[in-house]
Amino acid sequence: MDFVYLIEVLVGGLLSGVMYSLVAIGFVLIYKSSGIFNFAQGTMLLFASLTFVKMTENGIDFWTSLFIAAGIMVIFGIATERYVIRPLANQDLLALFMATVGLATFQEGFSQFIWDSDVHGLQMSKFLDISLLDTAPIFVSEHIPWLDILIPKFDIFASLVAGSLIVVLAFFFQKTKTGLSLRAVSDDHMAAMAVGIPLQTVWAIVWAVTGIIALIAGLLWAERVSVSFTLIEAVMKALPVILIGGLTSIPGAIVGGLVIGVGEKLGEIYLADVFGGQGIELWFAYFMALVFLVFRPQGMFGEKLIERV
Amino acid sequence: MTDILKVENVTLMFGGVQAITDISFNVKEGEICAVIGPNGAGKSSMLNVINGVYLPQIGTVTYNGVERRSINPRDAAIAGMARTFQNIALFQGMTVLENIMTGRNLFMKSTWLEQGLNIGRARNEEQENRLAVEKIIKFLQIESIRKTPVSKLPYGLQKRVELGRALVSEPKILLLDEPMAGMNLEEKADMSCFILEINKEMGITTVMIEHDMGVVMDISDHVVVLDYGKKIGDGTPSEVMANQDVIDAYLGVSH
Repeated sequence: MDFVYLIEVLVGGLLSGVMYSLVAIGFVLIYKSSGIFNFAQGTMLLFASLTFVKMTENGIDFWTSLFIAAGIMVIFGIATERYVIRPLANQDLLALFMATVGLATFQEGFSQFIWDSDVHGLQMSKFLDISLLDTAPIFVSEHIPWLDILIPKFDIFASLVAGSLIVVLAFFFQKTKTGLSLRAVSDDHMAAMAVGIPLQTVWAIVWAVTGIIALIAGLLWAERVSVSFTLIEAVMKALPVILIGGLTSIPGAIVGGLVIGVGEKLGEIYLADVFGGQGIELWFAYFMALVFLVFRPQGMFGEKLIERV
Repeated sequence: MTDILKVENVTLMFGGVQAITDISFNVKEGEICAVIGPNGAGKSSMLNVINGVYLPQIGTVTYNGVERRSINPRDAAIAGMARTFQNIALFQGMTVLENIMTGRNLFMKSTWLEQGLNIGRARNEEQENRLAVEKIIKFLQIESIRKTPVSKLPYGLQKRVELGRALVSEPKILLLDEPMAGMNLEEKADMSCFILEINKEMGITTVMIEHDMGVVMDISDHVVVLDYGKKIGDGTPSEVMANQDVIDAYLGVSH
């Protein structure tokens, strides 16, 4: 019984971890390609999902809204590269970071200005006839008799979507010229330019792709916590994920998300008594990140910076 | 023979420090031109001015008949200028094959959608690019390490891969920044052979910075000597060897 319960906790943790990974990948992509820590990641999620939700509320169907929202995010990404990042190229990285802080503030205000600041619910089951969007959980014991656990269907749906997105991204990076250029730029700007890779185009693509990831992550998160400013907080959970996985590694972001997801749930169940009561889930991720910072500051998969003396 | 590259009165300053002072020299089409000089003489800075990494305060660079004061490195690449770096600048996260493939980047015209699905222009292009890459890999005799991540290779081989990445772009002019630094005798001999073959058989003009005087005298047609950012010698290897300023710079002057 106890063992079965442990499995339930683990599966639950892994599934929620995938959602963290998805957000973390957005950070990693931009950091890897340009060395910028994008503070506006959270507001990108909010802006993307708010755009989508407002369109569906105005009677536009699901797929049209999705494509228009994706298009807006792509345009937004390209514009960010052109008008925020490019003018600051070769500046101190702190200046670029501050620019993304400004971008976040702008995006937050802009979302409220063109849409509104209400809390919107998102129920994808209203638009899509997929059995996994059903609110009832899956009773695993119906399929595997000895495994008497519950898995929320939506968590499986979210993991499948996130998993497919990761596969598409991996394919994009490994099999296309753009992917090759992108990896080249993330390794060495100077050398990439010397072989004729257009740095600015690559950055624009990265911002556009990050925008689309933000849309997908935003919708999955919104289904759970509604479209509102709590979305930005949800994104904060991706910070410990990238601390653990390393800012420069996409596999790291994935594993980091899973570690945080599982760690949180295990902490909640097994350490609650030690730390006096519930609520561990709220801070345990940050605690794990702190432990990592002490023992392995570059994260699990991050590159260790070696200075040549 | 015509001059493919003309450097005229170039002065480059970093803040108050003059890295290069009023340097002019010409590179003829088809020659191997060596730029030599003691440490800090401004050799790498000169190369960086030529392919547009640095913008000189004064002076122009005429390449292929086009005079300009600045170019960006990507446009330089498009114009057929390929280079290697003093501290190897390979893409550490990639294999040898992938690194050399990035050198074909300007020959890839198909969109990512075509590439992803392997349809349309992507198919032929992919084949042409692979062929070009394989030709270079064979030429540099690095077939056996094709799939090795470059970060796992010894220094000498990394230099060779970097040369391959520059070469595969079918450049008109090749800029090599210390192609033999840190190599042992055997590796140097190999590299000298490659450079000579690239020059004689592929007909690619080569400008190289090198410290090893033996190599420089052996393989170059033309030597430019810099010291403290100024040009102190320019001519054939034997002319330069006989130049008193050059001897002083290298051996020191007795006071």
